[in-house]
Amino acid sequence: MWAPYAPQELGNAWPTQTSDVDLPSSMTKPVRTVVIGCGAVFENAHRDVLFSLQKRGLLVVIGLVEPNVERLRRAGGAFPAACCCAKATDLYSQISDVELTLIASPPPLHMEQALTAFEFGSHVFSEKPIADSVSSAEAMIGAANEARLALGVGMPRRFYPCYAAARSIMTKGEIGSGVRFVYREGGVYRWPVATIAPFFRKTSGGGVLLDKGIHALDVLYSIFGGGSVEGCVDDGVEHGVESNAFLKLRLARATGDVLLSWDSDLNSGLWAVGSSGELWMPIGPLNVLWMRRAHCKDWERIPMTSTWPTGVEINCEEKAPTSYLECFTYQLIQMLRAVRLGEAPGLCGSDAVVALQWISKAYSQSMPMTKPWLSDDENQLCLLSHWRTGAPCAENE
Amino acid sequence: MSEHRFEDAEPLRIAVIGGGGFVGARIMAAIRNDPRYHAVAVLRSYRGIARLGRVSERRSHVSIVAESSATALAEQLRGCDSAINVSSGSSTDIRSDTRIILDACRIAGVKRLLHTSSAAVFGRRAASTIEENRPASPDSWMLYGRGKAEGEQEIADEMAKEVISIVVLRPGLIWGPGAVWSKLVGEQLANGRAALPIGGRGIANLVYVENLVRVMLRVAENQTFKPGFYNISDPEVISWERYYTALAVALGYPISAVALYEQTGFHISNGALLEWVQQRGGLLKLIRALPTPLLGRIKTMARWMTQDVPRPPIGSEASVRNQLRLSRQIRDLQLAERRPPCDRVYRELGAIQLTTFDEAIRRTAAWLRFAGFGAAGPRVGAVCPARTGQCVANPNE
Repeated sequence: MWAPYAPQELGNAWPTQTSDVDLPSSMTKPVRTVVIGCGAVFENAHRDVLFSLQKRGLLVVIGLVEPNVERLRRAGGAFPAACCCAKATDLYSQISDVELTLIASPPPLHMEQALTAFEFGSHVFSEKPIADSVSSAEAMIGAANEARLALGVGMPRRFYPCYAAARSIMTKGEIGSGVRFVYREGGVYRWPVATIAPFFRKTSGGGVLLDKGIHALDVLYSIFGGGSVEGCVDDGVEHGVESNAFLKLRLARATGDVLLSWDSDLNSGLWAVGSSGELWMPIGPLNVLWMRRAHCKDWERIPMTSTWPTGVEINCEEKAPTSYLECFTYQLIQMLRAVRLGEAPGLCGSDAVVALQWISKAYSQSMPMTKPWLSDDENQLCLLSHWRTGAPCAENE
Repeated sequence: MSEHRFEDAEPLRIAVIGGGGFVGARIMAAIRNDPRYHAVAVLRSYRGIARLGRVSERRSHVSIVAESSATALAEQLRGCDSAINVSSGSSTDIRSDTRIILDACRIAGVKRLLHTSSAAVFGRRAASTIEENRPASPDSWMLYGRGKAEGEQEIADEMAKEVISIVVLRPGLIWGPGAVWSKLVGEQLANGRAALPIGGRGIANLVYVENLVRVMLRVAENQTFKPGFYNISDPEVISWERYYTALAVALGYPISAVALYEQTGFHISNGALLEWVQQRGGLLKLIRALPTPLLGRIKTMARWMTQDVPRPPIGSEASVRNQLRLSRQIRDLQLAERRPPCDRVYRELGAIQLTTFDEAIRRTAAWLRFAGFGAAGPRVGAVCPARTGQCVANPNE
């Protein structure tokens, strides 16, 4: 009897080899998949990926859950054979043999929906962040382990060839010791959100640190290893969320600074310098990484060599994604391989929770940010009304 | 109509249409805690709130008007004494958007509208031939300039009805912390591509963002300010060479980081082809009507054709990459022998405190360093929590 998932095989997202095993015929059937949450991330990313994978016969979308009637109608148009419901519990009572649940709902709902999916014997692929709190994430991980089911988390950047190359360079110590880094990621917020919820701390849990930080900190964790947050400042005030955040990290292979912004275009990139060289990786391109050896004037561009499976078969062809959206395809294929072949998801729950732990720590110690390009009055105002350290304000003011 | 008297009990209610944009967010920041004002930021979509980041301010709120209709907009303007239009949208829709705003103001009973046009309406017209207090004719080669001029035609038609008191401001290039026209210089310096034609002697038609905001608020609150068309630039006349070198020095680059050429021609490149397409409103509409996946591929190809592979910042090394590569738009701006007349607005306003060029440079450079464009490379420098003044020390310093 084939064990569909083995928790002890949890690892990280880097390209792996799968040993030769005779596959039962059930392994070649499309994975019966349910989607919970048909909002912006589904419409802008997952829908087309699911459609193309369904067309290839790798999965079949058998259910859609979305409380918004209009969004559910649109989603149902793409998958007319799927059972459509407003609640997940209603869906599970109407269909059977759900093998994979893709959760793309707001983070506060992830835990409840994941636990429900595990109860019905379904593996889970959750959009990032894994949950709205560390305790919820740990509950999901515990439930997955107990049910011996896979818990994967969406992090498309884990499939960027340049990040794989940077990790390899750092693991091999090619830029020496005493590595310091600066990571910047900032741009004017353009995601087509449909409600005001992301901009209130009560409904979203946080601003740019949660939104961009979940990607940024996972990247840094994957490249430099585990560690801790040593300081954080942000510009969140009263009940709103922060648009700018700055953190200091001390990690296994480096120490450094992280700057994130929702309202300004920064010179986004990762710069790391060690005793024998430095790295520069711009944020955005999938395959650009520069390295400069110590005492050399010129930078060299590092060739990309990492590839990932393009299907669910053992020994299938491997390629590298060429766009951010293609990464969604590769990460979902890896999740299908977790369901069928017992491989690790691209990012498993126990690794995904690390970035959330750092964010939680950062928020717990965050101080007001001074911006030297603003007037003293404006900085003073931020100081007095900082969401964590400022004067409390009434809920409905 | 009368001048608003702040000693009256009621605060001045101002609607900022486009309040989530770059200038709009600065207006909201200037008045959000000023008891003399009650501010409403009117946005097209929720994502504009990210720049505001101040959702829960006591004396301001945010309204979303997703549909392009005068009736819907009028509902949000009802009760407002003044409206400031700093909205930006597609260049092909400026005329119709302006019409909607005018109708909405009339329906809502708004007494004073401050409409933001642009000095782009003048194209390459010689400054001496510009009649400031007339609507510009839509004959600029730039689609944006033509669109703004068409908007001015709508304004002129409305002014003739004498129902709303309308002031049109035509700012030059808006610069300062977070501004596109400052980030451009920072990027060029960081990439070793800062280069100017005609020895940098062209006159930069600049207006510092905080100066623009101060003028706008004074006009909005003073309803005896004479309606009409006004150009606005900073009081000091600055050459492109002075602007670039002032930022370069403030950021730690040598003055030689700005290369000065005597040439005047612009560079035919893939960027020029993209620029040609962008100026063709009809062609743009056709492209935007394409199915989303195809449109996405076209955008990716356009980016690939026009953008260099991101390279590491050069730091303070002497640049060897400066070449004069100008688009037609930049060439027109940097060859200007003088700027359009812009004294009328200051004569009408009387005494007003403005930020000097040197102070504006200091603040802009502070932001550019934060954003990672300083000569120290990506290094951050100290970012201080406001309360304690104790700096989160940068281990790289």
